[in-house]
Amino acid sequence: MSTNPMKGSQRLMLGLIGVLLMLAAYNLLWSVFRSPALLTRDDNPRLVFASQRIQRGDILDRNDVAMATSRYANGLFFREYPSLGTAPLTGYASFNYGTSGLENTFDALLTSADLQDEQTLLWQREVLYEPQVGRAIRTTIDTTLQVALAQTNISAAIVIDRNSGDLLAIVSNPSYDANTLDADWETITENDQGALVNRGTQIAYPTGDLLKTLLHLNRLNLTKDGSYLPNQVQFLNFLDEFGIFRAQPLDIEHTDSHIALMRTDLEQTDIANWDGQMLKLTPLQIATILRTISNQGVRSDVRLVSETQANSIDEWVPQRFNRNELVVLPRAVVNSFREEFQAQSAAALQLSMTDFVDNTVVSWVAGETQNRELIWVVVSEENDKAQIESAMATIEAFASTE
Amino acid sequence: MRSLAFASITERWLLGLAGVFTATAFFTLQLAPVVREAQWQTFSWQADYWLSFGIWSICAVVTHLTLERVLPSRDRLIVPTVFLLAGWSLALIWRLASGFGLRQAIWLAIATIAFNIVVATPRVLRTFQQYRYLWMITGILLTALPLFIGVNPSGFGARLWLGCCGIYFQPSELLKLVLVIYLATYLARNHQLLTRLDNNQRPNLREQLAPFTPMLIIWGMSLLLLLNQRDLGTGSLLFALFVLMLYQATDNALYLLVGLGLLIIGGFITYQLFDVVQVRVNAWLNPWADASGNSYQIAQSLLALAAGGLAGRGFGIGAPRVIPVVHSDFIYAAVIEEWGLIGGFAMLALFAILLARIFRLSILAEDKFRSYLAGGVATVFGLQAIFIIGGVIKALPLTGVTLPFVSYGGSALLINFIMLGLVMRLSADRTA
Repeated sequence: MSTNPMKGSQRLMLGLIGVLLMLAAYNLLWSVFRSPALLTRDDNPRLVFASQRIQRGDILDRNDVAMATSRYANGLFFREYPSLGTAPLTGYASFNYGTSGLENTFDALLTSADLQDEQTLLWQREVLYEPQVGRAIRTTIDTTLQVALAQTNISAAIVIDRNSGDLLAIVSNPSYDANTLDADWETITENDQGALVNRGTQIAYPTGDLLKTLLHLNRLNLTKDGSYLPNQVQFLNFLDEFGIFRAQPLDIEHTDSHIALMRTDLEQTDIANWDGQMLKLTPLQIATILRTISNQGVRSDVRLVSETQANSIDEWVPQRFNRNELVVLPRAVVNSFREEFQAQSAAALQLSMTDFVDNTVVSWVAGETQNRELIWVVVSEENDKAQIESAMATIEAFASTE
Repeated sequence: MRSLAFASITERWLLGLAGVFTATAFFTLQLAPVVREAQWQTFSWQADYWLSFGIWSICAVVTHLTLERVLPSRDRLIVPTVFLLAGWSLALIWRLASGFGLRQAIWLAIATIAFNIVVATPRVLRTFQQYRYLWMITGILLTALPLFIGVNPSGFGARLWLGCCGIYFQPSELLKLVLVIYLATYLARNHQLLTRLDNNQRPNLREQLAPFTPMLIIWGMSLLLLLNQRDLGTGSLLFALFVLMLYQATDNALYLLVGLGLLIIGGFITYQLFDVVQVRVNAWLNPWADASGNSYQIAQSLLALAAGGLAGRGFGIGAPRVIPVVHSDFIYAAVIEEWGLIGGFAMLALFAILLARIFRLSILAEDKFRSYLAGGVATVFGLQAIFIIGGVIKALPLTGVTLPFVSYGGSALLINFIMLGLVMRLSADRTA
């Protein structure tokens, strides 16, 4: 066996340098081969830092009032929501909790991630260190109406322009202040029916008067004098024409998931045993049905975003919007129904409901404004008549100034 | 004479290049906020950066002049390599933990003074060799002191430091130095006996164990002491140093195999006994299982490596500060994130050059003591680099030793420079 200490030194040197080389090779694994997978991990704080360098585009209302904007400070951009009460629409863009609402739906556009390919983004971000500038979106919302309705503390409110289908307000209470979302997160999320749920588009309420109205319309549609009582399948097909059982195109979170299940239940129940608790709809669905009736039986989709900013700052591109118009009821049937309605109450349509939801009395009122230009639904989960009247007065006042 | 003059110019040039590199690093760091925020208004003159660079420059110039005077026939690559690493380190520490930047510069000055004293003391090697037991016992006693009056500058964690008035010293760093000297002396003196064993002359058991006994006692005492303090990184380092110096002296691979076996058994026992070992081994095996808890540091380190890629994010632009104590144990992860693989490989190459030059001295040494001393110093530097870089990139469990000349830490820097001083003396002696 060799005992040459010089050889020992030589071999030790080669061994240690060899290990350094192996470490260099192993380093490649993390920095090159596994890098793409690691960088997209949710727990990578660098994703948050990267998003803080993006100037998100504004979310504007129909009068170009900013509902969400980006403020620059110390090299980073911070999201601000100037008007309280717009959170059910804008949602939030949080470094810690991600995005929701319009912030989520239009995330690619608001960050301009959709414009650039990976290489361009890489060049701008990593080499030139240019901040990524997002583009704005223009909605159909009227911030004044939205905020005023939110201040009435109504549980939910929907206001739609009857002709255009533009959504003017989607209110939900309790809500949250998107400016302080990170700090308030624990409180906000402690209840699964709480502030993050949009009561205008996600919570289904008993239909009350509306069920009777729809059944009556179906009977008028089937026979002039309304003497024929349809069976449940016929009535369900009629309801289907209103789009109740179809997913609605909307740019914020909305619930369609309960609908298919509800239809299966209803098909198995004799129509004589139906009540408002069996057919539950969201305020947005109630509003769209009422709009169809108000529009002489013609159903069409609603919209929330009208335009998006093009590559050039001054250019706007109309948001693709297919109205999907469909004649659900003959004009004669609607007129006949209106005459009956006017004989009983007022010129403008108005329906209401008061029923139990989870052992609490809930009520909603839906109708047209006096000038018939706007369709609205207001919901009070506390069955607070004063609250409902205050919201209705706010909507009427707004309609009269339009 | 002509070749000496040329060699001197080479060292001067290389130190100059190291200075240009360090100055560029500080200048880049100065510009980083402007780049990050894309605004010239964020530019502010950081006098402390340039004060640190000034200290570095004075250290480099003084060292060069001292070496020119006292060791004209020294190795010309070692000092520029080390000063390049030290300059890079200063810029990195300013970037990662600015509160420690000036402190590290002052430690560099202290370490340089110690280095210059060592290289200017002709009998230093003989003194160390002569009083090896005294040094060793002093080292062990000093290492034992933190058991009674130890502190941790961070206010939490293992109390491995002795400190007063804001100045802290880690005595286990001294243990590395005295153990290298002790082992080099002992192995040189008993080389005859050790080689006889290697040559299979089959002495009886007592004769076989005799040469190892004092060495094993001393080594075992220091190891036990470190285990008691739960300084497992230094414990592992000393164990590996012992085995590798034994191998260097004997060129007998059997010691490596036995050492590896003992390391595995020791690892298993410490895993059973110490929570900290369990945490580190589990984090090594699967860092993603508890990425926000016990494995946070290593998980963030791997994310930093991934973020760095080939060219890095740019000095001062990345986010390495999300890694806890990045300026100490995880400084290599910060290098990769901001300087990329190019920077990381450059740093590894500098270590490879440093090891190769010191081992060259070991191979060409006049006597065995000098050979083992140089080999021991190179092994300490090499092992520390391997342990900590391996830990940072998840090739090895994390051991928490410092990256020589790069990580923040005054005691480590001081002892490394003293070891370097000894090596420089060897290099001059050899040529003389």
